Amino acid sequence: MTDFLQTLVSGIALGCLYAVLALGFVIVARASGILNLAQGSFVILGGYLAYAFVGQLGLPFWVSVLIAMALVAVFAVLLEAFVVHKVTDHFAALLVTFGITIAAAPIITGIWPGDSLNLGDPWKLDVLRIGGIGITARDATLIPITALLLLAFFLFFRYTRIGLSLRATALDPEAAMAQGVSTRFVFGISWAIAGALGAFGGVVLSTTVGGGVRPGLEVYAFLALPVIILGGLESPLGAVVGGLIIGVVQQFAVILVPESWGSGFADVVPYLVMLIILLIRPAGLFGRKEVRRA
Amino acid sequence: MTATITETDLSRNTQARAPRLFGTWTSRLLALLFVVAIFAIPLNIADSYVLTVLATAAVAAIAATGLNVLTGYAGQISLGHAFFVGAGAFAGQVLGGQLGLPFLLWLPLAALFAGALGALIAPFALRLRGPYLAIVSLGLVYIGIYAARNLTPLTGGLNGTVVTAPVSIGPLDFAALQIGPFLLTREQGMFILCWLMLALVLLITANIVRSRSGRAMQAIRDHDLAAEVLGVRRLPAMMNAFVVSSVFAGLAGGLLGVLLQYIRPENFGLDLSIQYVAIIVIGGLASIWGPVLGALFIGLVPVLAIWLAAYLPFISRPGEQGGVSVSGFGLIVYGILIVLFLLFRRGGLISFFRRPGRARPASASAAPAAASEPASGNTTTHNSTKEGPSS
Repeated sequence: MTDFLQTLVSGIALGCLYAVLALGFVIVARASGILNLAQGSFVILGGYLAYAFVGQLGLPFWVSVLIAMALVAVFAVLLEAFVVHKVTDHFAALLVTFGITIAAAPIITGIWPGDSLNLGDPWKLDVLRIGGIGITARDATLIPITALLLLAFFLFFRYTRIGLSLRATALDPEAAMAQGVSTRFVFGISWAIAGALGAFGGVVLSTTVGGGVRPGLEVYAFLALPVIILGGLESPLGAVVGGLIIGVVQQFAVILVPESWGSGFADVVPYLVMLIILLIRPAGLFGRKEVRRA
Repeated sequence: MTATITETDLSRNTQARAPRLFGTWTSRLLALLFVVAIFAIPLNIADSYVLTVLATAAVAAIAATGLNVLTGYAGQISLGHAFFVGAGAFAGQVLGGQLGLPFLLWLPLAALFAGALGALIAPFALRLRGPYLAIVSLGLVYIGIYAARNLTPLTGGLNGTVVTAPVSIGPLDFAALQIGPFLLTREQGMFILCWLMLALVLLITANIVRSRSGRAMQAIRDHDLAAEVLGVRRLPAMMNAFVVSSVFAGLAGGLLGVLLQYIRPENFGLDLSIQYVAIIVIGGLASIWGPVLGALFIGLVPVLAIWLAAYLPFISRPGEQGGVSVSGFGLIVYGILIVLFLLFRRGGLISFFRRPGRARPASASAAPAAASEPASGNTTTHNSTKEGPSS
């Protein structure tokens, strides 16, 4: 039973990370219909910027994280305005954003070389014991913080004017424009949110035990892609629920799958779940069935 | 069935004919020159490094041509092309090396194996419109590496495997080719083999894209709803494109195996997929010669990076710490060029050889692009419909 709970908690922690990463994809997809693979560059840039402020400038951890999130959000907005907005169709936009991630990762790791840079997070290897279950201090902090972040996001989405314009644009861009919603503004806000979430995800990824800020972080952003298929490409709720499901399933796969299945099976579990979902419910858990009108 | 009837009625009324394979004398001449060069270049260049770089470019061009059918002509983005290349490479070694099948049997079988995998995956990825194929194919890369690492008896697991598959057709052994009195080195033979296969693949592709199913793909790409109204079924057309692209990838994989002579699961990761995407975008989407040009260009980038490392402080030489590694430099170049070409030059490098604003490059000075005659008409429509506002 304790094993079960232990795995469940670490699965939820992993799921929170997936939810944050997936939400970044979903926000942009909802606003502009683009699958924004530049999310990978937000993740790696966020991680390394946080390192630059903590490790090189000596700022406190949480201040650095906030600054990194803000800077990456600005980067995302500029990227949208000056690069991605110039391409007219989704086909090119996908490739352009992919190209950005490809080019950004080696540039960033070239600026801050090293296989594993210590982010100096406040948790070290502390473990909290709650009723027989050991929860790492990292998980214990990150789960509520992620939950707060997601809650703030949903409140913003549901109750603010900007949130309303985001939803309106997702529902019907032309009608929203006719009502005076600036789509440029909506795109900008969406990319800013995606950038901030990506940077936060990058920081969280860098605090795993034995991890650190390291090359290859951008690829971890793509781990959220199965999540958005599971949850539905344009559903924020789906991103959160899908993230939690995949996180928990993956952690249980680590424990339960026999060794004879080979090394690295748990790493491909999200993709296998994705294939199953595409077979039985291709639109995802919270996706709407596609209706097309000319 | 009604769709078939409408189609024949239409074609009778409008006299639509398939575009010709070699429309102009220029294209015929260039095709001839290409074939002559395949033999002339290795006989006149003995430098094994140059020949290997060029042979690798030919193999990359074969795989990229496959991706171009899918991405350029059918408009579906795949980031998992390396998966099918890897499937072809390992299948080639199992069939040719472990089972000892002859070249003429193992290479087609390896290609068909990759094609069968493609047919298996396609229904997952192509059921819905949208970026699903990009996501699924990205997953395939990781699933493929996991599978290759753990199927140790077939793939050698983590350590990979030496490729011992034969490369001889009857008495013609490409590893030690004899033309008249000359005994060629392995590099020279492999150059001829790879470029001949590329010529074959280009010929097949040129024929596919002007065929009925090829035009169906392009119709769906340009406007799926309009195409479906005209009786083109979306899913079969897309599946055709996907299977063809996987077969070419498998073929390239088999050749890559015998070219490298040693393959590991890590060879077929995301970086290889990125290369193929870069090749077709930089070379020219939806053109026959674009991937060839792109592959030659991409083949030059690492050579250039090693050369530049001596002059530019921020590129680290192999084995050095800090700065941008040679492979990292390649990725930066690919990424930036993908963005720049898509923003400013959707036609890719090949479009520099074409005359702007002309549907048919009729004049003799139209350079290699003229050989891709069957594609050029369609490419122009593709550009004009999609590029519109930005150009």
